Amino acid sequence: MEYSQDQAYNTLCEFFKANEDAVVEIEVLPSALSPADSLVLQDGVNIGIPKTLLVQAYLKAHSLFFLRANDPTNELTACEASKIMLLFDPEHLTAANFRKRRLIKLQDESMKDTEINMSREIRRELLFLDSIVTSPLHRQTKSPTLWFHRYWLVSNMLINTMSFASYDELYSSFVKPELEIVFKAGERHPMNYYAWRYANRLMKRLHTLDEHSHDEQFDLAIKYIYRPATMIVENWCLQHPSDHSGWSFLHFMLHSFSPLPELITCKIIDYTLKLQLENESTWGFIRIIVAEGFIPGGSQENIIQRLIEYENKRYTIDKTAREISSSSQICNQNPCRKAINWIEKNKQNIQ
Amino acid sequence: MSLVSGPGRGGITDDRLPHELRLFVDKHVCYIQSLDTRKDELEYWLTEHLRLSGLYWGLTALHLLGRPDGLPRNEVLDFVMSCMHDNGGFGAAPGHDAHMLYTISAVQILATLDAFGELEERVGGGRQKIGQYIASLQDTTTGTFAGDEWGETDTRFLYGALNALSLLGLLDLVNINQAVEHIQECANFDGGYGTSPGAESHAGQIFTCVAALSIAGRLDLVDRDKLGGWLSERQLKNGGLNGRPEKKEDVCYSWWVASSLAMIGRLHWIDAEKLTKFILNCQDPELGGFADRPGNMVDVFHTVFGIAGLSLVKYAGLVEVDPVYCMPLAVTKRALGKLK
Repeated sequence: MEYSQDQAYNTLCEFFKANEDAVVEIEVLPSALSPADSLVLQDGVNIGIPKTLLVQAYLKAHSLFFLRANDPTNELTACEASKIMLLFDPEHLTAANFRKRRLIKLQDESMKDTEINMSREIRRELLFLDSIVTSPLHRQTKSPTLWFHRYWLVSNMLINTMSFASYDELYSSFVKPELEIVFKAGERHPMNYYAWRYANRLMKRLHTLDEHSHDEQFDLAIKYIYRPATMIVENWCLQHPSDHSGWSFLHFMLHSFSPLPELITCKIIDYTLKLQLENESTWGFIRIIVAEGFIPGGSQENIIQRLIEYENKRYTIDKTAREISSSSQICNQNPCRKAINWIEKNKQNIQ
Repeated sequence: MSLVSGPGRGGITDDRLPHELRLFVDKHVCYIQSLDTRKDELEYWLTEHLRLSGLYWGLTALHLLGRPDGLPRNEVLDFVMSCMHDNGGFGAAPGHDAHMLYTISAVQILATLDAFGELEERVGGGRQKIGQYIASLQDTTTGTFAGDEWGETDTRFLYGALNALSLLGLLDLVNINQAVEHIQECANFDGGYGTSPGAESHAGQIFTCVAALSIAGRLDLVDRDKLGGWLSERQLKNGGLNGRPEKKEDVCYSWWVASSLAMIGRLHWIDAEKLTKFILNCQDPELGGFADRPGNMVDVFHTVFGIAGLSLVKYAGLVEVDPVYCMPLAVTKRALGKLK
């Protein structure tokens, strides 16, 4: 179907406008799957956009956006255009910064103008980000620009205005959903560095709320949020044992917010040995967590012994080969032996 | 300088015998020179958000290939200066917001072209302005650096700041000790470094932290064996390097991993011959350029890091690269030497 650049742009703008209070799922269609009798494929909040149409819409958005540099009355248009630009080019820093500036301006104006509903504006911005990072869009879901934009929004505009009746509410209505967005993005793009980086920042930011709170109960509650958060992250890691980013974040959570539970470590090792997993990422996590020494000394040695016994059963080891391979840097060793060697070399005892 | 991918693809066909594997210098030069002529292509506009870095990548690749005059000097300078903001920062392209990343690329280009004099001619006090912009982005509570006024911090920006300030001779504008302390906090138990304290170890971030420590004269703080071990585990059976466990090989890690190893004196912990073969296999021998791995589309980012990787492992005929700066060693020596 033939269309102009304007039509391409307007179609996408209308879709976003009609669904600004929802999380939408966006897919970019290769030309083979382009619809014959419509510009886009739409099914409720799901939209399939032919790549060629997205490109045309982008070019229109680009020229409209850069017009605003000379025309302040064009701001609303520039804002709509910036959405389309970020959809196709998530690293467009200038478009993202424009949106931040606009939100700040709205916030200032909302002090005098009661028509402006800031919580709605913030919610809609988050929904826009949710849509992009959870859609099957390869580059977008890992975009450092978009993930920082989210953090900026949450940290500067959302967190200080939140009020919760209990820690349960804070966890269930904010922390857990945010982590679930990270999980989904991590599933869209495995080892999603910047999604997990966002989670890291978020947890640290939540922790700073302790300092602002004068309610002791609330202080304790914040601490209780980390434990359920750690549990759902641990669960995710066990379902995605090859995701190095997930394991790294779990390690960070265990370190920062709970005394390192022997229980979680043993559970992960049980799981790994039972399923005979060989994932480098899983074993990478195990070797650090055991070697670091936060587990009491006796238990650390027990775990090492357990790994040795597992290795003997699981892998046929020729004694000579073991002695040679234990000193090589590039390993053809099995992952368990590699981990044992690393632990032996690097273990420490914090106790 | 466009960052459009293609049209070529990496990957030398199987009928070519291994001993014929070589670096197609002329093809890569033509490829880089042709990039800015592809303005009609749609992706050209999509990569506008990092155009200035693309120029640095293309220019550096040409220098390492021994073709320092491959791009028209005045046009390059004109473009760089058109990206400069009043506050001393540079955007990726005209009209784009200033950011640390593009400011660093600008300084690296100016250093490579030995054009700081011309900078002063065009913008009086330009060097100081740039230095002040960079210095203003240091977070005085943590020692790390933000990318811009919006506050995202990342060790990439810390490294970039030290890189650019050292080339400008303005390192004294920032608190180096505090920056070094921050890097220490980014060290992970697995031997690697992340983008911030507690963040995942990643070869790219490792490069930024180690190179920053090198500029600060504090490589003594690195556990070289532990880090070397982690980095050497990046080499896969096909000789290529990845950036984290279980990731695919990618030619750009020929740079991030190998330069990190070089800086800590452990480059021999990977198999250079296998790596060389892998990198050469990522070339498009007909149209030039390198892809992240054989079979994929080429682009200028992977081109510069593939070539830089080859230079690190002393591939014949290439100009020596400085592992700390990813610039020709002769250029960094000149730039840093002038300041003494």
